[in-house]
This record gives sequence, structure tokens and C-alpha cells, in this order.
Amino acid sequence: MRLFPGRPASISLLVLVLIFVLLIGLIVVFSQQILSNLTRMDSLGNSLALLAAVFLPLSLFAVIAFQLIHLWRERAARKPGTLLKTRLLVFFALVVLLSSIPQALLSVNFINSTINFWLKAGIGEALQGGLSISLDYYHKMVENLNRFGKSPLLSSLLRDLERNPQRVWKNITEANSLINLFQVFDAQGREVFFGGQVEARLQDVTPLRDSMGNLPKEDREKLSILRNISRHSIAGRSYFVIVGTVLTEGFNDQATSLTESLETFNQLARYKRLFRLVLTGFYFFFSLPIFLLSILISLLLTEEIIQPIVQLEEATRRVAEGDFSVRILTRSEDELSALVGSFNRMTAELSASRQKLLKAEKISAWQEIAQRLAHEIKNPLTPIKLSAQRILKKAQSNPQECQKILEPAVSAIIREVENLDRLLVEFREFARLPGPRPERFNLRDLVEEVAAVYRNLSAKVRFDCNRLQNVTLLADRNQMKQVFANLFKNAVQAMPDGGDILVRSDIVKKDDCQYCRIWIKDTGIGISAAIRELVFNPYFTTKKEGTGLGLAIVERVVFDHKGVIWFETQVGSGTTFIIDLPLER
Amino acid sequence: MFVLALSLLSFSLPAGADSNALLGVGVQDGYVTVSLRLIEEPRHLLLARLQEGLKSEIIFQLRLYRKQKGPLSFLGDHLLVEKRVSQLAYRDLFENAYVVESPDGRKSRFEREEEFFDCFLQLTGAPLAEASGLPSRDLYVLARIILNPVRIAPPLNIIAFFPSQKGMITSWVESTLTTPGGRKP
Repeated sequence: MRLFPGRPASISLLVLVLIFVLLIGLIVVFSQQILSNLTRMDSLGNSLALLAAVFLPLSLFAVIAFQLIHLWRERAARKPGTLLKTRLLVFFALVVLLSSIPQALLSVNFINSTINFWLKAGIGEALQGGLSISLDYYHKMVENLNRFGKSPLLSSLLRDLERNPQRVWKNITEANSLINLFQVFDAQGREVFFGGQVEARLQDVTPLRDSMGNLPKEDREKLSILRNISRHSIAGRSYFVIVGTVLTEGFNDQATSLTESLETFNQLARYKRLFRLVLTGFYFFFSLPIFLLSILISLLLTEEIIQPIVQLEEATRRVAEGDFSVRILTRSEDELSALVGSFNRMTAELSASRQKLLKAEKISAWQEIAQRLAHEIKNPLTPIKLSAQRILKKAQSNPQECQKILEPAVSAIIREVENLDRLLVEFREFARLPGPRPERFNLRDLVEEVAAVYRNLSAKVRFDCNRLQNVTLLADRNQMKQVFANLFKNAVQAMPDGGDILVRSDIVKKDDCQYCRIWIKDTGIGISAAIRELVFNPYFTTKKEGTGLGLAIVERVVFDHKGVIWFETQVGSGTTFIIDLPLER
Repeated sequence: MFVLALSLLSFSLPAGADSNALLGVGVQDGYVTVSLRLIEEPRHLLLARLQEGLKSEIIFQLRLYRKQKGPLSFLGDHLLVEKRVSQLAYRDLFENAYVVESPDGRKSRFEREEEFFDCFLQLTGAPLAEASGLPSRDLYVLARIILNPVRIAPPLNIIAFFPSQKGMITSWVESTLTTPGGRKP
């Protein structure tokens, strides 16, 4: 698998890792957005983020689907390494699943447990109870102020205000222990007396002159102050009297915290089910791309692992086919690289050995051919020599009689010379047999064409080509014609009293290749066990007129077409020659 | 320099039949000002949520456009300014008052429901842009209101991704704007 065909796999891996980091970044940004309340449902950024969040897993899914279809097609085409690749991929996917399923279960369970914990009935009741206590305390203070501000007791206590305000303040605190603030202003707004916490002192009464009764709570840093303002006339002079209560330090912060906690709790209680659903949904929403990304990285790693093995398999196949020049390139330094190195050394040694063997075989073959050729040449030389000696002898002893033997002796010499000439021509043709020039042709048409020639030559031989398939072969038509001609000629000669020649074909499969298998069966005399090993040897023949090159040529042509030929025979019953020719891939 | 009211606020009824907002646009003290309010207010729903101790949120979304004319009109009108004004409302249980909190933290307390709704559900004379930098014609304002009876705090706001939890959103309302003191087009 390559995300970028033609580029090293490391670039694809780098891109996938970058996507992975981007995804992690997206998750972090997204969670930060939620935590910092930046989410705006109608903002363009959110829409784009949502689009990216949908597009990314979809595109990853599409890439994986494409890769899996590609793998399936490769498997169907029996491409090397696909089985191992599939197994490795399944293995990696299982590893990813096995690690993510417990994590998912744990996360979902954790989400549920956390939400249930937050929403424990006790917490809500505690919050509500705390708030009620605060409210009771607060309202009690407010009510107390209100009541005391209006009470005749305050008016009676204020009688001594002008004489001894300090005493009045003391009497007020004794009369109402909840009052801890006392401030008096005259009609002009000047402060007459202040008692209580300095931080709660009111600087100016002017804005409050028209508001009689309880004033709104005032919050000053950590203090919350409740005040009641009333107007009193003492000895004919008017005064603004403020009595107040400074609430417990931090009351306001605690009350705010309490109300906000209760608000959050109420929200959570209201949207509990939806929140749980959305949270679980988001977990899978973000974990799915990571899972898909892991699968994609698995595909890439699988390819990386498989590649040298596939190269080795391909190279081994080529070596098996006889190509010893194959070498595998590797950049890595791992064990597979060492294996590849060993393979390269092995093929190099095999190639050298094969060269030596071929050389030896060539010498041996030429020695054999030279011997056979010498033998074949020597055979006619004897009659030539005898004829010539006879003519010479007659010419010396009895010149008159010489004329009588001259013609038959010279004829014998000419015949033997012609035989020699024919022998040398055929030898030259065998030696010069050109390489195949492939073309497409129909097997049945070719066989019928050759059979027609031999059908006319021998009326006693019957050809049956009906079981030949309509197969198109890619081969040298002329050479194949010669193959069938030689085999038919041998078959006809093996049946001097007539017989049947059956030709049929079929498609067979060997390893990863398809072959056209052709049977040529005769009902002749068969081949004896003694000469079975020799029938394909050049210049081996059992016939008077034969050169012994026919089957040698047949074998060589079939071999040149990357095919195989062999035979099955039974003396007295006949012989079947079987040819396997590779079909086009 | 302050310019006194150069034009009276012009109110526009909703463009769409289902619109639920009333938009007023004008120029005041050198600024384009916008007033916006809901026509049908879900008062009972809001009061119920506030009594439960929850907070409500209203967002006024304002956009000032210049009409695109000529061969480039197919590109759409030009957005000059966009502004979001949000207000938060809750009930102060200690003071028995409704509180409206503006984005700058300013709090207004109301004991009467009428006054509270008048403050919370409408935007009055909110400045949108300086009038002096704008062309005098071909301007218009689009506005809409997003009302969330329950303001969802983080991390619960994750559920806002669900359309059903988006609250009430009015359709966009349009009102044309003329700025007599603006640039000549």
C-alpha cells in the first residue's frame, strides 16, 4: 500500500503519523473549547470543525475500503504475498480491536459511573439543604432588621443619642444581639455617630434619604452588609439612623458558590440522559478515526513486512524458471535483509555453477554429436571406398570388364554422397534452428492443417481431431507445425498396417500457470524399453531412412516455448506423446 | 464629536412570516444603533426555569451589510460588522429578585416580572458601528435572537451539538439604514 505511489513507504507512514497527531490535536482543542465555553453553535469555526470531524473518518474509511478491495482483487488474481498480507492485516486489526474494546468499555463505564456519582440524590439534597439554611439565616437577619428598625424600642433607645451616643450603641447591641452596625447622620448628611466594623461604614447617606426601611444587601469584598434606615426626631432635630448586620465573613462567596453548584446540579439532572448519550457518542466519534488510522498504519506496515518476502518469492520463481541473473535490492539492515543477501549470494553461486555445467554439457553434447556425425559420415564412406577400389581394381586387371561395373559403382558412390549431403543439410538446419517468433493462432486449425497432409499420404491411417479444443496459442506457428508434422510422421511410420491417431487437448494448471496439454496418441508398435531414454537424442533413429533429428527438433521447439514434452508407451499397443504449452497470463 | 440624533429609529417587521423579532435601526450620537426585541416571549417557560434555580441566556446577533452592486453582486453583500450581545438572567433567591447580567458583568435587579422581561428580552440602542466611516446608502442590518431558556454551562454544553437543545432561534430580520453623515458612495 502506498498513499503516494512511487514514493518511499516512510513518507506514507509519516503522513499517517501527522494525521494521527492532528487528530489528537483536534480532540484536545475540542475538549478545551468545551471546558472554556467557547462553543458557539452557529459559528463558522464550529461548523468547519464539525465538517472536518465528519470528513476525516469518512475519508479514512474510503481509503481503507479502497485498499481492502484492492487486496481482495490481488487475492483473486493470486498475486504473491496476498495471503500472508491478509493474515497479517487481520492480526493487526485484531490487536487494535482487542486493545480498544476494553478501553471503550472502561471509558463508557467510567462516564456512566461519574455521571451517576455526580447525581447521587444525597448531593442534590445537601446542596438544597445548604441553600435553605443560608436563605433561612439571611431572611432571619433581614426580618430582624426590619422588625427592629420599626420597633418603638429603637425610638426609646435613641432618646439619649445627643447626650451619650456610645451608651445608645451599647444599649442597642444589648437589646438585639444580631445588630452589629449603628450609624447616625444629621439632616444635613453629616455623620453624628458610627459604631461597629469600620469596613462596613457608610460614607454618604444622601442617596438613601428617600429610601426608608431595609436597604438591599451590599457586598464589599468579603463582607455582606444588611442595613435598615429610619428617620427619627430627637429634641426637635431630625436624624437618619442606620442599624445593620454584617453577615458572616465570606457569606456572599459561599452563597454564590452554593447557588451555582445547585444550578450545575439541576442542569446535569435535567440533561443527564442526553449528556451521557452525547458523551458516549463523542467518545466513539473520536475513537473511530483513531481506530481507522490504526488499520491504515497496519496496512502500511504489512506492506513493508510483505514486500521483501514477495520479492524473494518472485525471485525464487524466476530462479526456478532458469533466470539466475535475478538479484534483490534491499535498504534495510534487519534479518530479512540478511536473508535477501544470502539469496543473492546463492543465486550468484548457482549462476556460476550453471555456467560451468552448461559449458561441460555443451562440450559433452558436441563430443556426442561429433561422434555420431563421424559415425554417420563413416557409414557411407565404406561403400564409397569399396566402389572406388573395385573400379580401380577392374581398371588395372581387366580394363574391358571395367565398363560393366563402372555404372553401378559410380551410382553407389553418388547415392552415398547424396546421403551425406542430406545428412549435413539437416544437421545445419538443426544447429541453426531459430528462436520462436510467437503469433496467435488456433490450435485446432493448425492440427487439422497438418493432419490433412498425412491423411492424404496414408489412407490406412485415421485421424481423430474432434476432441481438440478451440484454444488460441501464442507460439511460433511454423515451428509448431513442424512439431506436429514430425509427431504425425512418426505415428504413421509406427503403424505400417494402418491405425488410429487421436489428438486431443485440455487446459491444465501447474503452480500459478495455465497450460494447454495436447495428447497425440497412435495405435502403433510402441517404443521398447531399451530405447525409451534415447528417443529425444539427436541422430538416434530406428529407421533406415531416418536422420534421428525429428524428435530432437520437436523437444527443442517445445523447450524453446517454455513447454514440456514426454511420452507414455506400451509395446504393441501404441505411444502417446504429451505436450504442455504455457497459455498467455 | 457627538452628533445628536440624525435620524429617528426605523423599525422593521420581520421579513419572514415565521419571524419572531422586531428590529429597529438608527444613527445616534455618531453610532449606528440597533434595537431588537422578541415579539412572542416565552415568559412562562423562562419563569419556570428561573424558579428552578437555572440561568437563561439571550443572544442578540447583529450584522451590518453593504449591498453589493454591479458585476460582483453575485458574490453576495459585503459584511461590514458583526456583533453578538448576550445577556444572562437568573433569580436571586436571597433578594427575591430577577437579575439581568450583561457581558461586562453589570447586574440589574428587578422585583417586578414586567420590568425584568423588558430588560432581558430586548436590546435597546446598542451601538453597532461608527456611522462616520460608513457609506451613506446601500446599508442594511440583519439581526436575530437566540434564546436559551436554560444556559448550559461547560462541560454540559456538549449537548448543544444536538439541534433540539439549541433553544429558540428567530429568523433573520432585515432593516435598511441611511447614514446622512456617512461617506458619499
